[in-house]
Amino acid sequence: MNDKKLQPERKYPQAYEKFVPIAIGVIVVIVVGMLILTLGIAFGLIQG
Amino acid sequence: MTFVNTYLPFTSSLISFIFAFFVLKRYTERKGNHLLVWGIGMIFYGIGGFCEGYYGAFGWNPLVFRLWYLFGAHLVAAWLGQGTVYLLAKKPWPTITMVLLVLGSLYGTYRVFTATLDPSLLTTSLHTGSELSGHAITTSGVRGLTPIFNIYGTVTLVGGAIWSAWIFFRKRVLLHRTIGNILIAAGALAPAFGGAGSRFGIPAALYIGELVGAILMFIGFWRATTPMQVNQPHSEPTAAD
Repeated sequence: MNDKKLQPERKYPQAYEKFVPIAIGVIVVIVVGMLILTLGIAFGLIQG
Repeated sequence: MTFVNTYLPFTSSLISFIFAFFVLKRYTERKGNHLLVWGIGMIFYGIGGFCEGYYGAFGWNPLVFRLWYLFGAHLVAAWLGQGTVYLLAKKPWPTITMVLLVLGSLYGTYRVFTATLDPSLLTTSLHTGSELSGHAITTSGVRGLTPIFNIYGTVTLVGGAIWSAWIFFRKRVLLHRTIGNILIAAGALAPAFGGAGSRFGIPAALYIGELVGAILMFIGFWRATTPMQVNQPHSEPTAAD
């Protein structure tokens, strides 16, 4: 018996494999965008 | 009095209080400061929604306005975010930030309750006066505090949830927590979107954003704390096979 096991490559169900990184990416972009807007308005760089 | 500016915020308030009940119930069972602080944050969310509904139903009341501004506009995001800091940050950061938050909250309470108000200003800018807004505060420096609390709250709450989701996703474990955290992050962003919409004069944007936010965060919390019945994640055959 070969006791040299390879690390199992776990996967989420197919739909979540696609959905999760897209959702995380979209939320990160929104947060960064909102922070830029808020700080821009706060510092007078963008018209509020 | 309309459906949108009365029943919508009352519904948000009800959902928030129910959500707070479940979070605090979990705190009594499992302890954990993050649950206590999240529970307090959701009570603040509920108070804010109640004050909005009260204004829609019964009109202007200075005490209700001050309560709304303090809990609904000023503190809620920061306290929810602080719960996430307790969950994710290493000691001593949760304690340090909590002390700062309590001091900031006390200072904010003092400023909000000593500020002078002019309800006629609710109709200035793009606001129609049908919704509450901070424009009614005429004392300078009070409204300027709010973004500080809200930026801290948004970065910690949304950032913490997204960070957690990413960690679980990267390891491909605990799918329910990945989904739950994504929903919590989306829910936390909804009121911010609503606030931005309100600023641009979109009627009811804030109240809709708050309701969507309360619902998404509640579902997210439920999802994150309830393991899913997922088919065993398929593994690549191992060498042992």
